[in-house]
Amino acid sequence: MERILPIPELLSESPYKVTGSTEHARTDVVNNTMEVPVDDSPNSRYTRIHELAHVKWTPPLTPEAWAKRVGTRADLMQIAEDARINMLTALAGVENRRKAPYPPTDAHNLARYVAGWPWSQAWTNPRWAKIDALVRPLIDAAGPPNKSTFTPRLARSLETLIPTMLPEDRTIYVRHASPETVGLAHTWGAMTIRTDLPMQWAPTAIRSRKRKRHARTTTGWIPSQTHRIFTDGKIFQRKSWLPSLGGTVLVDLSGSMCLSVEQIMALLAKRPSATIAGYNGTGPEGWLYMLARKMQAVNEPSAIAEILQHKGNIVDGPALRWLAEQEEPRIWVSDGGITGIQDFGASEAMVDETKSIRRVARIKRLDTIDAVLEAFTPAKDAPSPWLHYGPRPHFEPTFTELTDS
Amino acid sequence: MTTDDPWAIATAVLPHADRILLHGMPSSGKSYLGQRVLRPSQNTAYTTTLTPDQPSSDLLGFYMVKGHDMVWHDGVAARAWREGNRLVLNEVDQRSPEVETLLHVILDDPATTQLTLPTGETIRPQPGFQAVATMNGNPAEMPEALRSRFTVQIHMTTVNPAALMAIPVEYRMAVKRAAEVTDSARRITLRVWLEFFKLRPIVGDEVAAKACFGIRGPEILATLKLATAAA
Repeated sequence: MERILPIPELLSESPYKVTGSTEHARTDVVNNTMEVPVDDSPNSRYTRIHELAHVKWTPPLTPEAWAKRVGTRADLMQIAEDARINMLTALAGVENRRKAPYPPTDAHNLARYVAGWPWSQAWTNPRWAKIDALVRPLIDAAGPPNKSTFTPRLARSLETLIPTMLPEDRTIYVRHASPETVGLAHTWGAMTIRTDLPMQWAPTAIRSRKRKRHARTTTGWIPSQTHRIFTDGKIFQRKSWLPSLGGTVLVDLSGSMCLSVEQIMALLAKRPSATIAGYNGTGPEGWLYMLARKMQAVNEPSAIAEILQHKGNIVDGPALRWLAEQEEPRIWVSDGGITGIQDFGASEAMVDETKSIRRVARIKRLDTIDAVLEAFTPAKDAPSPWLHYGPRPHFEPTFTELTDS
Repeated sequence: MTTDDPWAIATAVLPHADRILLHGMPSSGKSYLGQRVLRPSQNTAYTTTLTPDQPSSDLLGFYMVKGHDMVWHDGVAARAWREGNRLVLNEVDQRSPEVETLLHVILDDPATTQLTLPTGETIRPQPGFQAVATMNGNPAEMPEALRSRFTVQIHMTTVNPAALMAIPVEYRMAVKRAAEVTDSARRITLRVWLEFFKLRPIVGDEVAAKACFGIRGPEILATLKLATAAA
């Protein structure tokens, strides 16, 4: 995988030390260091842009020093500065967030920080609306975001706001909440496989779709493949028909993927011959939904809409283990973000686990459903995108090795 | 003139010093400088790029068949000696062993060195002869015998300011810094930036970025937008 390292020097006169990280993203504008994810997933891309924007706009002060200077809390300064950076990035015309069904506003974004909610739950959690209503006027009152006074003003307003919040809202106010702070360990949630969604047979036209190939054999009439005599000895060729392409597609249905019912229905309509499953979760548990299997696919949009209500990942690990046992080719549709219980992110061990599952089971990750649909509809004369997923060829030597003796 | 600017130093000494080594990061414009800033007495710069399997005849000369005769044909170093012109040796750290031995003579003190060609003729460097070598590697890794022949060694730590003039003014300083990043995994060379800004008006921002920066293209474009956004 090609590592993508940002160039903060495009924005700063001082050289930066940039390192890759699977867990953290942080920029120290005092010591000129940056730690960012280096993969090509959308989440990582937006994270890097956010950190680059800090280089451009954040004053060269530590949050503590800045907070001391303006007389407020350092964590609130960070929250307010993050919100300001997001607003300025948007004003500069740079896309820095996922396209959500309900595009998050700056107040929305800030409310997420204030509430300590995971991104994916922010726009569905009923408490968000309440906190958003409280925070939005504070943002408006903090003045234009391009003024350096914005951040201290907003931080001080938040400091005043928090004691007025209801206890249940305040208890979840932990920015960058870690499992340890709420007495949990980083771990996957419990996964339940659901096969109870209503399915119907795919149209006959799709079921009967077959593909032609030339099979090589060791017996026949005309030896047209004589070059193979030195490898597998299959020097004859005959036409044969393969059953429709199968394979397995596992779709991350968490909120960060911003999937719509229509996108999933399009996938099911296009590929009922594959086994298609989706997964998401909430709190300590998650579900893996069987969406298409053995030429049958879920046909009720309302059923899809219902399962999209859960916005967390929670069970990436168990779901990938399930995928590893299914038929090849194996596709994982995901933005690359993984989380365990409570959607609290993932420990290094969890990240390593998913990587090793993917490597061993040859699971390919695609960012979007559209990418999967494209893979299903190759150009007429293009080589099959599935060819390289097949089992590795095994050659039986049909000749004797020459030795010195 | 500031002594912190290697390009100013190089430009100042080039017309006067005899044997100069310019080393530093790739695509900074070292060879360009060596070929362009000539002494008043020089009318051309003979340029050769050294390779690991290059014969010394490329520099010294060789016999050619012409009609029924064998005619001696000077190589670039012999011609530069005879005419008192400049010899530019690119990638001097990639020289072959054969060429290295010859360079000991070619780059020796012009006042005392001489060489007898296979024709029997003895040649000496004429007044005005000058050798300029360039390389990306570290001169400390060169054998001392060769390294010591370069009486002036300049480490080019920045990109050539003249080459930067082709970059739009609003991006010039940002591109300069990005091309001078010491981490080669992050650095985008000036040569790539020049190509990007050449392609941009023709094929559009996104296509040019993808073509020049690959998978990093969208992010480089976003960073350039941030760079020109109001402070």
